[in-house]
Amino acid sequence: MNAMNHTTTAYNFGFLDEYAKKEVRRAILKAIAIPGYQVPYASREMPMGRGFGTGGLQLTLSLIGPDEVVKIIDQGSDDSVNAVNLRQFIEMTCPGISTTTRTTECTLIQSRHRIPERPLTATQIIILQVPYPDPLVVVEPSEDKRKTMHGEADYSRLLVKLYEDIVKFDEITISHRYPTRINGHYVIDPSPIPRWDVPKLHDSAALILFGAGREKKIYAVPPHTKAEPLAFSDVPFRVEDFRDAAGQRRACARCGSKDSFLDEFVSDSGSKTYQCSDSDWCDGQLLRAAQAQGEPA
Amino acid sequence: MIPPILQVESYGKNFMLHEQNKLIPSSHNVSFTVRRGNLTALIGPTGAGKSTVLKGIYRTYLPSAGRILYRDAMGHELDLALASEHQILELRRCEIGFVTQFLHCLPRQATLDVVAQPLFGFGVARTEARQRAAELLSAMKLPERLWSVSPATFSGGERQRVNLARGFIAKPRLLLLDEPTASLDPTTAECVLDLIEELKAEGTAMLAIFHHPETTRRLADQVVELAPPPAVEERLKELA
Amino acid sequence: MNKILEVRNLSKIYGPGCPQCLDSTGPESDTNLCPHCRSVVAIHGVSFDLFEGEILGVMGESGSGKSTVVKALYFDQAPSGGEAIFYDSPANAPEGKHDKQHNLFALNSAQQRWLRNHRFGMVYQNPNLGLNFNISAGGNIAERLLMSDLMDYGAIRERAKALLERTEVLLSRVDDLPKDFSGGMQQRVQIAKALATQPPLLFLDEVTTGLDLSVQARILDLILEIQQELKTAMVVVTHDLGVIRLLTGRAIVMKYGRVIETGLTDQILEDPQHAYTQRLVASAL
Repeated sequence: MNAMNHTTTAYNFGFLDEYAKKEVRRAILKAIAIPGYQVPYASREMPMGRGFGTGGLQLTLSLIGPDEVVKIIDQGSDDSVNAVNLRQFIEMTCPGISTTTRTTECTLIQSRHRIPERPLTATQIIILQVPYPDPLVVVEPSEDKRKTMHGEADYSRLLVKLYEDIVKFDEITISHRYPTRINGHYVIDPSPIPRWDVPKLHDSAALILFGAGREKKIYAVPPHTKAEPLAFSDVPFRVEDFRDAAGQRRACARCGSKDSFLDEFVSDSGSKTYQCSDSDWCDGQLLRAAQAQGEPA
Repeated sequence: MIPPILQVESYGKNFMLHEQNKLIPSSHNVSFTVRRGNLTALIGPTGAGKSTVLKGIYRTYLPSAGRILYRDAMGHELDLALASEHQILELRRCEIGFVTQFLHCLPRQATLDVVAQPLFGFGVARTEARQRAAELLSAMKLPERLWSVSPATFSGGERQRVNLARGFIAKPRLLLLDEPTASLDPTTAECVLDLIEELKAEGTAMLAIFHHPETTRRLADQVVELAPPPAVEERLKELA
Repeated sequence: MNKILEVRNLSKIYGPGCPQCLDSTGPESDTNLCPHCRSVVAIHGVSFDLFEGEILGVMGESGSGKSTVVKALYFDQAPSGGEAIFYDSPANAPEGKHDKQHNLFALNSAQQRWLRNHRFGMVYQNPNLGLNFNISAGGNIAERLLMSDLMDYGAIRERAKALLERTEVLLSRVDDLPKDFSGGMQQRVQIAKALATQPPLLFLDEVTTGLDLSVQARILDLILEIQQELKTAMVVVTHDLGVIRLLTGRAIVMKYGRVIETGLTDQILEDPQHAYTQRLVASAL
């Protein structure tokens, strides 16, 4: 009972005890060694509900060191409730670390459903929160059979889903969680990132980790690893094009960017506006524009 | 002298009916030969086992006694009584034909294709095989309007002509004929007999059972008379 | 003629098995249930050869083990014993593998799956087993093509349509779910799916059972036409002597898990040797 009153100092650095961290790190190492393979691990109870990023958080807390600069984003934004809460929790349990909203400054990113627009570097690690780790769950209910299918790289039934999509809609309609083959074998659910972010998995300079707390799985796309979204040779994978009715590429209403993933906002009057999903990117674009304007002619 | 294509030695066939515990003799001590370009006719009263001999050679019946020596196109001799199932199937495909009074065929197959079937089996082009089938059917005076329908609904005489045409089309080395003209009118029967003679002249060896003695007289080079097997119908129990 | 499949002493026992199992079951004992350990000797000592382009019938009543034979060969159920060698034509050996002989039950599961997808086909009595009812008829065929690494959507679509057309399924129904099809049509889709990779070996398990007679006849026609066109070797499991007579050149007769008679089909039907076969044939006439 005493500990309860003693605030943070009663907890180990990073909240998890060192044995728990070690176990998670071992799982991470295995995940890196077998790209795309879902490594089971003993997901701990965290002081927040499953589904609020507990999987990603356990990875973050196991990897974090005293000099870490951490960035937490939720759907591209550093300021949404979930991101703020997680950031505060990390700040509280990891004394000495610093946090940032700048993609350029951080060493560790925990993210829900987005990968930053700015390419990551070899000194950075991004941890994605995963609700459903197994892409095969939509076609095969038995985990036992799914494991065999993964082992044999038998993904024909996933491809049939794509086939049926094209039959019905003339295109592949999967908007997020796009099944992606890693290093030529395992197909992963890359978490609910939009199609826009899938190409960023390929040949990434940064290590990409995936943590599913409720489903107790960790997997990885190691740096400079092949990541191919499933597709047909004559119906290639495509990212969102953000074109308006006239075929023009929409721009961010705030910063004017034409090469970022846009969120759609519908006003009360029914009109639609578009804005960068990655808030740091949007801010960066504005800053640059302001600097360019401030410069003497 | 050229050795015979077929040499049957002391062929015998009994049927063991397990349900009734009875041994039914059907053919007994049958011996004869069939030569290239010759027709050997089997005669004898009902129950003498004439059809049993044909079916024994075709291996629809498993022989109980004797040897059935067949010399194949390569000159190899083998005993049809002992040959493997695959050897028999291969001989049926390539060398030995059998025209019976029954016709088993697929419900949807056109008569032309039923007749051309043996040639399809040889890999003859479809159009060429059908052309040859058409020639045979018209020689047997089967109305052309029937060629494109299945023989399943045909009369006995029409079916028999389909059967004959199918038996003749591949010009087998050995042809077994079981009352080939039984259900035909005299005019059509005459056409069929002409075709048999033609085939014989081309070298096919034949073993036949004819309904009419005059047909036997006209076509047969050798006649083999079969007698009903001695009445040895005994209960197995008594043997035991 | 080349051998495509050689099966030796295939056996499948459900249950613990005991030293008395084999002596206490089979046609002589009139049961396949071992009275000592309650194991079921589904099949034992089943041996046969199959040649390229040949149709072999496996006949017997329910409980004779005839379906177990094809299920073991198609890797649906692992056998308890025995051996089966599949002789693939060397032209079809997978890339990098020059071995055209496959010792079926010595292969690992990935190798077995490869053969299943590329070189074998199966048509089940119950279309539920052979088809995925949640995806369209075309999707079912696409699945098998995708398993064999055809990755071009247009080509897959064309091939699926061609196969359905060949098996006389209306092309307007290519994108419908098979659960909305008639029984005969479901079997046609199953056959189309099985044929998708042009396998040299096809297993047919009671494919016409439960269908109307006219539908049965058309399915049998289709099977025979395909056999003649593609020279596919087939093992046809059925209790229906009509199917045996129309489709097969040779047949084996099974009772309580054992082969009691084997021969040319016309010989088995017209001159059956075993008392059981005689009863079976007599009862069908």
